[in-house]
Amino acid sequence: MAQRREPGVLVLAKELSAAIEKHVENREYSPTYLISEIGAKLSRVLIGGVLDQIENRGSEDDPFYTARVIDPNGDFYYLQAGQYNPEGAVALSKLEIGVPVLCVGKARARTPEDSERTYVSVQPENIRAVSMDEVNHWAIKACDHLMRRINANKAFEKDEDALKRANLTIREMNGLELSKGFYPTVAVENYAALLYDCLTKLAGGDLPETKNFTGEFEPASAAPETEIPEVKETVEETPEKGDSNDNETKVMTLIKEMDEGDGIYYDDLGSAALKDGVDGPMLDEILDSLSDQGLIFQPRFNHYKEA
Amino acid sequence: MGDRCVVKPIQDKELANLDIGVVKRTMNQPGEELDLVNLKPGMSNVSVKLRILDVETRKITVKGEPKTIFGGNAGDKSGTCRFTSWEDHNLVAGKAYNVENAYVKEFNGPDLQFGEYTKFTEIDGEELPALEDYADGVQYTLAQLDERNGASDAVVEGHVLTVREGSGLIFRDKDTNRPLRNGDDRKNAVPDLRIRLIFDDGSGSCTAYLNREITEKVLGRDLDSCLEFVKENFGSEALMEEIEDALVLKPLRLRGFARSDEYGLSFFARSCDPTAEIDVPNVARQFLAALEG
Repeated sequence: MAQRREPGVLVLAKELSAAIEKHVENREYSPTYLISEIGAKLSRVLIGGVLDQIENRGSEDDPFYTARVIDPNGDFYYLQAGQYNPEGAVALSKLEIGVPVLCVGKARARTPEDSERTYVSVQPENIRAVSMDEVNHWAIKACDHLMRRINANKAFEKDEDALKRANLTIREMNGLELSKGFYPTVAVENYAALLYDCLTKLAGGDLPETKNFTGEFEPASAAPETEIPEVKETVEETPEKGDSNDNETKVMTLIKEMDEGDGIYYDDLGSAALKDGVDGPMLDEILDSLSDQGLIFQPRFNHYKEA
Repeated sequence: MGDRCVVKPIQDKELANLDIGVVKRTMNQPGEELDLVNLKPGMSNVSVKLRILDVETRKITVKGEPKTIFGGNAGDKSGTCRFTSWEDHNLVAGKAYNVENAYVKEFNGPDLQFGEYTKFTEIDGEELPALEDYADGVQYTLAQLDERNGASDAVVEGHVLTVREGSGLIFRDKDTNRPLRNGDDRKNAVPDLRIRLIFDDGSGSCTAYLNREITEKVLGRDLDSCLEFVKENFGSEALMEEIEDALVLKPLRLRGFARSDEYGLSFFARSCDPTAEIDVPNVARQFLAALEG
């Protein structure tokens, strides 16, 4: 069969960033696919969200842009565009922080030599500012694709009828089989929860919201589901002055405690901070404030260390 | 295979999934009742219940003799399909039939063939959608279109990923209607408008062609205004930028016909609309209700 262009798979940030296994097909011109835990076969991806950070880490003449996009569920995509991707770099450089964007690009995974962790980033082929409605419309479709994968994954080798009803394409089936080989023990429930959370947010998050912000935070073991909808709500708001100092101290302590030499990775800090009652946007603000005060710095992209 | 060759059926998962190019998974049980949407080129002895949507006669020459054949579209609850009838089965648009012993060839996707041995029984067709239900077209994913090698009438929804070169103001040869490239002889050139897109729905991608009428709608200018615009801007780059601005990464719904060949899947749009504004919170709530139910 003739070569086909890789479709731009709609994938939420949480699924993409856990898609750390690479797969190259035994044929001419095979791209390096990333296989997600529940079976998405990813080369080109179509992603959406709000542009949250952008930085030129190269020079004027030889730019290297890194950017971060928050998807509607509140998770992060990391974007990179350098000299080998001039179109992507130009498209990125035109954008301002805080705008809703859609982006098509190639998913890449990289494991630094001194690290156990694999980082997944997207090299944008094209990115542009769109309306929030268009991002939400994309998100609904992304949820639909996610649900397809979850259902097929649950049915795989258990319920032949359900799998047949899912009517997978050859490509989807192949991705699913590969994922079963790469990740023998995956909690599909995590992705069902992701789907549920994301849809709840898109629906307006009415139900969990009312339980929230009674002044007290529930213990960390309480369902994080009820806490996350707040993330998006507070993006534009400044946290109350009263606990902001308090939270700064908490975050500072975490950075000191968790640092193993070359700084603490943003995602790790994020999950630890959440347990202390500091959510994503609040954490970002605190990190900015601490950096401004010169108390912390970034030895590497997205790693924080005490100054 | 000679007369001493022994052929045994085997079960082999890899062989079953093998992608053998043009004819993909055409196995069907003889006489099996199928949905129109699942027809694949190469199938034979097909039984379907369908409603004829339109019929037209075509005069062709077979081996030097003139012959009248009948073509059109047929539909069932799963979708629509072209058909060609090589005999006069007295088909009437709007009526429903139980068709036995038809076969499937290919022309812009599966084309259901009615031959001499095809048997028609008129049915009341109450379970089939009415003629007017087909007005909005049948929605496919691009992966489905690719697998069935196209469709005569399809609706697809997705995002525009790129606008390709050869979009905007183009020149066609007067006689052949082919687009002229740089360096071609311009003596017989007539100007035209079109847009070539990479269109993608997450399951597959295609090259979509928007004709002059749609291009004029997208740009908000007619051909004359485009010629003027290109002259003012000393080239067609500015026009290209306008097209990109209007379309790149935008969600669209296209209706038209699709063809799949060695160049990939092509979609020729007859209409193009921004994807209907959906009420996201409402859809999300319905989605959640379905998950819980």
